[in-house]
Amino acid sequence: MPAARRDSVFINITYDSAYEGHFLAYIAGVAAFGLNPRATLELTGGKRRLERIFRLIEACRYSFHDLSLVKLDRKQPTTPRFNMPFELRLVIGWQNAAPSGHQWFVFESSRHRLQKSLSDLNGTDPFVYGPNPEGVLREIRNALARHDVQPTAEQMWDIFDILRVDGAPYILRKTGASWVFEARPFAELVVLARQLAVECVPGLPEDS
Amino acid sequence: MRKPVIVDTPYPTVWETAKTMGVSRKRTLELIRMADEIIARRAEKRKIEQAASRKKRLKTA
Repeated sequence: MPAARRDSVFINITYDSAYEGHFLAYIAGVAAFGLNPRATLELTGGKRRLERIFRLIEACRYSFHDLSLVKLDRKQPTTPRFNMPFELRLVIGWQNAAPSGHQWFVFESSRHRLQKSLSDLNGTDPFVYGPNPEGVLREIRNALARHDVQPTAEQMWDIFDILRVDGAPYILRKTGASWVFEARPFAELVVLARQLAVECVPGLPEDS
Repeated sequence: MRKPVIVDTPYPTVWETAKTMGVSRKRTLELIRMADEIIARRAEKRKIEQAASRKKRLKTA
């Protein structure tokens, strides 16, 4: 089993246009801690998708699982979205079978929803961020800490705001993509967010 | 409430991130320049806003 890259966070979130702001907040928040956000959007190639998802998770030191959109989607036929809890289950199963130090975190928008939607996780405190993407930044700060450099709320907000107002529209225009949930815009947003983090968070080293 | 997890990992450079994400050197350089420009623009805007608010305060005093 390959060693997990210690600088990566797997972001398990639904790909929904109403959730673009939240997605950008996860990218900004993770980058502010000097880490690389990763997502299944990157996956290409011919192997079975499930296997590729597992390889990607395995390559990450941390994972953020946002279960707030585990609900019926609007498209016909209306079905619940199982991908997010399924990927969380993959992580839990993997860590039970072969602990590797991977740390997972559950994020939710409402306080008691998880108890109803996934009561098997009772005893796990989710990071509850409320209705807005800004809450995601706050909860990432509650989830992670660094001894050397701790990004402030304002610094994280600056990175998020630049991604939202300038970065995402520019990258979508340049790549010809219609939304951020595509491989190319995601990859470029990650690089931009990491550079913004270097500039917005004093003390965050440019080189290891 | 859970305590935050201490992140003690090394920092990847922007170039390492770009390599991981499959972004070319040319495009990475463009994105770095873009970040520089936006931050400089915002800093300038902030400075102008601060100067304007200082002027306003002096006027009312």
